[in-house]
Amino acid sequence: MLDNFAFGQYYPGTSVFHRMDPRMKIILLILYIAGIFCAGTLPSFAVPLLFMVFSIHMAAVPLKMVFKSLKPLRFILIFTFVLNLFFLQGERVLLDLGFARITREGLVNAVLYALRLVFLVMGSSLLTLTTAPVPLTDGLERLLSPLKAIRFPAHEMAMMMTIALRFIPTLLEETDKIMKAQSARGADFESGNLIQRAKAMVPLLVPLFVSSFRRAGELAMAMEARCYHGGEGRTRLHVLKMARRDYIALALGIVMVALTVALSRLTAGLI
Amino acid sequence: MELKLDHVTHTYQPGSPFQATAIRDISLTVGDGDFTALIGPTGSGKSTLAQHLNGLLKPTGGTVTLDGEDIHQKGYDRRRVRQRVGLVFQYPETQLFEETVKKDISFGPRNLGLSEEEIAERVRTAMEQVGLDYESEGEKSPFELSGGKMRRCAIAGVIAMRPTILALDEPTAGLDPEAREELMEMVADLHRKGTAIVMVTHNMDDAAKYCSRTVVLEKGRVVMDGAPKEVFTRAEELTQMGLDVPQVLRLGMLLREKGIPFPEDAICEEEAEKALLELFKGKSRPARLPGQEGGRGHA
Repeated sequence: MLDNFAFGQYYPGTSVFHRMDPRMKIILLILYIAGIFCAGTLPSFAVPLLFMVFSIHMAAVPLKMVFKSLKPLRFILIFTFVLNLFFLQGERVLLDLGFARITREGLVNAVLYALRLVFLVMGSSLLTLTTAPVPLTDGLERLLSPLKAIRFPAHEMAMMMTIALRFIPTLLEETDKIMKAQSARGADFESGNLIQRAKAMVPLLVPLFVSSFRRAGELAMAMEARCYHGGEGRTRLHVLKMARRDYIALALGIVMVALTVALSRLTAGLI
Repeated sequence: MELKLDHVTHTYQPGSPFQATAIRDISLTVGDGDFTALIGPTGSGKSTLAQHLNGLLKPTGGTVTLDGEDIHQKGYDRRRVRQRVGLVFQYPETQLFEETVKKDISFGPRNLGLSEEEIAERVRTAMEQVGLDYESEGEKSPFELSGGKMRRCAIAGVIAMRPTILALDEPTAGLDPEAREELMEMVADLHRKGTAIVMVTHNMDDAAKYCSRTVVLEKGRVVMDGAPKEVFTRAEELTQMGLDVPQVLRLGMLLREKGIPFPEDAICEEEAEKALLELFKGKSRPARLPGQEGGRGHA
């Protein structure tokens, strides 16, 4: 029932992208997001687009998997697009409906924002598709660890994320099982108006909460039984190491941002 | 009333890298009065098969028919199947959600759109059938009950739908011996009163004692299907699959090794008792028993 949930799913593989240091992948994602937001004109979007295409190619992940992550986003996408389309009013009117006008500036802006959202989600899902949850949070912890100096709980944050990510599939499975069990008792989750549907969620949510609390308690106990005492003095099984491919990726990322900025400046007057 | 699975195959997430075929080409009929045990090693597709019985899973190949009608055809009201074929999941107590035991059990009947009197009547009967006290336990929160009672409460929630076929997925998993015995007696009682039972189990003694038919699954296929006696006497094959055989059968094998003529087709306790009594009466006592091992007979 819930097997079309793609965001945050790991797609196992052995590509360069899979083998890259997770820290570098996170830095690349940040650079890439910077690139998307630096691209102020449509033509300058070509650079992040090429970067994305190249990355997907290198990651050897099926395009279908990457696009699947966009599905939950469709309403937000339409909403942003329409909002930007009507609310940014420029000089050159394309269409006058009387109560509202569509201007060329509004259209360009709407397209830009929609593109940014799409690229943002595709980029982030490429990261989660090619990085297993544990290395991912490991990388995040290491990147954030300088902030420990100002008492930022980097380790705790990373541990919380690891646990949360780890339990997404478990919870989905559990949800699926309880949904089926209640359907076997004649529950209907698929029809009725909004209020009826919200009510139908009660038999699903109560057992889910109960089991989540129980699971949390058990996990805490199991961690303590194995002497977990927080991040202080903890050593790692896999020590992260940057390799040549990581530095090449970093260089490519910086070039990408620079190119985007340059192209954005050059084409700024064209629209 | 006849529920028929015809060449049913089910593949999870077809076309993805996680594609997995859980059951292949399974044909099975459940009719009135049957008590069928589904056994097989972990991952043999027992639970997947159980979820096909009431249309929760749609086969990727083959058909499921109830009295000759395909339950997955367009326009067929699947709720009708859910009412007639009850399914109790593994650890069903995880699906309890209401404030009181009564309310939780009435969830199913209420979904059937019955009148309040009819619902109350069904809740009372269902509670009696599973051995919960309507007066003293009906108003309790289901989360206050003991583990064994929580499970019986959850099963009552399915029984209250008054299904003609009841499928149970490992109903005794995680229960202590006493609670297990009680639960099995309750299931046997439902069977005596006319409900056809399909039970997934790892407990071969229960299968041997209560069932009229045993179906063995391995790697998603039916490898044996017949009366418990026929299936369990193929002890070697079962052991190779990583399955147990009933304790009585094992006892018999040990006794025969010692030269004591314990009947080969005794598989449950009652039969063992009878056979042992006969042996002790000396009716078929072997001529020469190894003297030093004379006292080992009833180990």
